[in-house]
Amino acid sequence: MVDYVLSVIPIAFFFAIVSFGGVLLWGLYRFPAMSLGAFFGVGAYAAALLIGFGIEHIIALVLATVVAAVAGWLLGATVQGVARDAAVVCTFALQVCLGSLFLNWTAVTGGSMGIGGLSHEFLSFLPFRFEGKWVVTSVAAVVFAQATYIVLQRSRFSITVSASGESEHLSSGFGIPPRMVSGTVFAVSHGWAGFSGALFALYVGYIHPSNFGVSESIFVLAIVAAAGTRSYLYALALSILMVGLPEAVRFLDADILFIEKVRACIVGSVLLAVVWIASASSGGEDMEDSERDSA
Amino acid sequence: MGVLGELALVSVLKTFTLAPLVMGFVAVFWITQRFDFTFAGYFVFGAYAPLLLRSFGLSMNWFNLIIVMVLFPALVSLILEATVYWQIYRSEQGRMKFLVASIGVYAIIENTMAILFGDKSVQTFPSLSSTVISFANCSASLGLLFGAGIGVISASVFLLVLKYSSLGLTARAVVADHQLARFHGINVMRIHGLVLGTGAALASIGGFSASLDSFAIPSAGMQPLILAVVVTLATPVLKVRRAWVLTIAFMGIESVVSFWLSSRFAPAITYGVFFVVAVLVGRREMAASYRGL
Repeated sequence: MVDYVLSVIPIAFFFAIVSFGGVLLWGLYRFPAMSLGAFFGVGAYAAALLIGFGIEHIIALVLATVVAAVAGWLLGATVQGVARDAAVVCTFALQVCLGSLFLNWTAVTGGSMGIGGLSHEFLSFLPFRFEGKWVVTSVAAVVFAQATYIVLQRSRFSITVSASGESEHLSSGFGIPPRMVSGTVFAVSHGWAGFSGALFALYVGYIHPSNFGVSESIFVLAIVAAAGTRSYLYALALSILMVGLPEAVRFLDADILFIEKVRACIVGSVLLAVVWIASASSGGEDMEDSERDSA
Repeated sequence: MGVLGELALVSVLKTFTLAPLVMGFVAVFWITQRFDFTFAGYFVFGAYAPLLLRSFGLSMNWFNLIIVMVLFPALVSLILEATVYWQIYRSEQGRMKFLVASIGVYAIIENTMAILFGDKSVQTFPSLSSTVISFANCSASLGLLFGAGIGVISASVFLLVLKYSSLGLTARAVVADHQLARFHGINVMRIHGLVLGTGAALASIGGFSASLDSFAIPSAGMQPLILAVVVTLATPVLKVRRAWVLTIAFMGIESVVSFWLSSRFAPAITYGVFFVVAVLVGRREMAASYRGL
């Protein structure tokens, strides 16, 4: 039982790292990106492939993060200057496009067979059992990621991001380069998602396209929406809760597919409920105002 | 008729099967200015409608099918609109929040169908999809022809109602200027609800007609929905003909990629094209809004 709980903790922490990116994007930059699940996968596949080429685990981890961050920068720079809801649709299309590539580019990703046999020997220097090593590693990763985001949020850059998120047009008038801001925000958030994906791949030892689908992006979005868009600690707590609670259902001897689907239904309900409650508490405003805001 | 002709025919027929979803989605966006991702859920629901009838022990006839396939999604949509969606839409950043909330509802519907019928694809009418009809050196399954027929009729009826009925006139008045429409005594909230309900029923019909040719699968709603979103983005308000042409063009791209390049990479390439189109159109929309400032 204890071993099982310990084995779930790293997964919750990996999702927490991804959701921090969502908090930065949605909370500060006002952009609910739908591509974080796919970039979680980009990091995982990049790490798995690099290790397959015989590259050291740590170097593979760093390179996978860099790959995800660079791809994230390109995405951010591309969707900059695009009407916001169209840009969200772009990230959604990219999520599905990458998900389809993970599934169908068999020569590289292993297709529906996935990539297995990833060893985690690079943690051999830690004097713990397998679960202990990964709990320590994931805690360290979460602390590091959270520290990065908090430093970023308290720096002058956050004001720039916030201003650009409010209105790219207006902020560019004050000399803030919107493409640089968009690219950087996407690079940071998607880079961390890639890092988290790489750690996930090394932890689980086997990756499959279903780990990085639309439902993962919706899951992250639900965590971000429920956490409130500016709180990293809430995002961490909710990741633990939302990964942990459905895992508890496993002890009911139910079918794994059933558990997964029930979890996805709960995630969808949370997403709807949280957005609804947040909208109700912020109070309705005139339709013209809301349309002006979205423009 | 050569290969190109057959591809063009299949693209047109597939467009007709998806027409209820696409046209409903486009019209809903024109009138309400909302991207409702729940439509992907209604699409999946429509695909599973015959199986739902069977599983609840109801006989398979048009009356039952219409109740399950048309009235139920419309009712769900109306209830959602009256209770949750309208409030979300009216809040700050309402359009974005609405999009996110509708993704949540889509996830609920998709996974409920997966719980009820499993994650694997299921053929709802095997005899229709396996019967192939050949004409003028072309071949198409009976399911595709039936689906295209149902799709094009329902989408056309909807568009004709939108164009010629008094309700359609009212809806178009809301498109033109919702504030002015409100001052003239039009209940904008009621129009939004009605249009969303009708769109939901159309999306469900689209799912049903598409499943006649292929099969029902819980994740089937995503690709047609993204197609609908991109067509919506690329079509100016009330330009119905443009919406038809674009849908045929996108289906044509998918058919050509599947045939000449690789059927395995067709979805990825198609989504890539959607991504590029959405970026280009989104930039144009943004530039237009700057000019309006």
